[in-house]
Amino acid sequence: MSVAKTKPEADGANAAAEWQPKIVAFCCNWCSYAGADLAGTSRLQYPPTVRIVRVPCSGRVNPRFLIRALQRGADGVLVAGCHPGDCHYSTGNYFARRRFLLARRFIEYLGLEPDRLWVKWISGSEGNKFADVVREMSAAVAKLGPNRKVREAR
Amino acid sequence: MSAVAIADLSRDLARLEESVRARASELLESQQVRMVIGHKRAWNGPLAVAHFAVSPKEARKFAAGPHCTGGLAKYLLEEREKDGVVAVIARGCDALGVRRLLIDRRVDAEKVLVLGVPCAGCLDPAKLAEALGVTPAELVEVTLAAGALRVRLAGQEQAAAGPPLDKVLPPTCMACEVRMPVEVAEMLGGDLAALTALAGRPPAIDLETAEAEVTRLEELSADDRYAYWAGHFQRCLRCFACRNACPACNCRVCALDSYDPKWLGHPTEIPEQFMFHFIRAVDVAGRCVACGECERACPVGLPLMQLNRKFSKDIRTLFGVDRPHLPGEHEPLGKFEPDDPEEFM
Repeated sequence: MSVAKTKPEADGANAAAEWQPKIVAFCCNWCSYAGADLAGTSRLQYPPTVRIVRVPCSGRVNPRFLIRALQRGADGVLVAGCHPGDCHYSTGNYFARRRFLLARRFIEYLGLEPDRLWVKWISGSEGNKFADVVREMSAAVAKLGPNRKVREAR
Repeated sequence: MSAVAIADLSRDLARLEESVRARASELLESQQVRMVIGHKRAWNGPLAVAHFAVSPKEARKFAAGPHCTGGLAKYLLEEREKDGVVAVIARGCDALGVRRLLIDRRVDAEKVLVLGVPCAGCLDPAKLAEALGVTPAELVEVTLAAGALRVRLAGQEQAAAGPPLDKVLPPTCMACEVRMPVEVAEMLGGDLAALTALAGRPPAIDLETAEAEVTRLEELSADDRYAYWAGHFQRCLRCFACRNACPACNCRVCALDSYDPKWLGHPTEIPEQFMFHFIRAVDVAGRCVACGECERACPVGLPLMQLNRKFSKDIRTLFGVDRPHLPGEHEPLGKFEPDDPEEFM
């Protein structure tokens, strides 16, 4: 997928009308990825704005992934993991929770929109919740508009 | 601070300097330690530089006083592969830096000897130059004498009286809570009444005042905050002095040096500068010892402690860990509570 082609300004005059947010979702292998899978196999409708990256655990997600995704063309980042207490590795999501509580406040402090970072707990049986979260987040990020503040100029 | 106390203070500092030299000579003479790390007067400016004494003769060069500014803990990383004990002449911030390296298991506790010295604060050359109406490059020599600092400027034969020390301290020294170092093997200087009394006093500014700038920024609009940080970050030279000075920035392989994944691109681009400062601040979050070395080392004067203080402020409000850098507290990001807040999750 070419980065240049997905830039809203590169798509011609009616780009603004057609623009849709681009969301990178880091889904933990054990719960949220299965949840996303369930949403698919259950034929649930949700906006095609989300690109899923499978990670072993929400604790794997380094906060700098968020900036990297925004740099390379994402408009929002969703971190999805098992519900607290359900982590496959027992505690990974608890550490992720502390980390992202701080990270969201920190990007807000740097002047970025905090709503570009979402963290949600989605279990393997919550296909509906996955679809709902993507729907809500797409609407919220669409309201913010394209990310320009930390996007690379290439 | 009364003039009498300051007169005592300069005498105390002279005695402290003598005691540092004597103890360092003794340790090196008896070969209890391989090296002593401290400060010595620089040949080309008012501020002391790091001094690495390996013989009793070299130990005679050690200095103490408000001109001894740079942190010393990080030099232990250079010595970690070698045999033998290394002693560090540690002010409060140095002692916390050594503690950070010990907790991170980057240096071996058996190979470090922390010699504590009480500290009256370390001057900020920019503030001093501003108070005198000169440029920092014109400062040649600064000493603490009765009453106030004595400063010799370029082209002058004699030193003249300068401002009192507490008027030219950097914010981190004004907010310092460890002017009497904690977790040291021994304290040097013996009975230094004035210095100990001064160092034992509560900090000149409290935590709330130290965080006032963070609070001010938090109240701005998002675009103003972005403009503020983008303005600062575009001045960044990407020299990594902040990383090199920081005792918490001690990873074996640094993300900033990594080619694969290549986290940092060209420094002229603002998003890349955000990435750099985001990585630096996030990776020391909860582990920062509030020594202010990053700011002191920065050649363009970026307000890096405002990033670090944002984290310590949020950690306090979210997790109730008041001063994560002081002994007796856990790493706030290295542990968790099952009922941590979940405000947006």
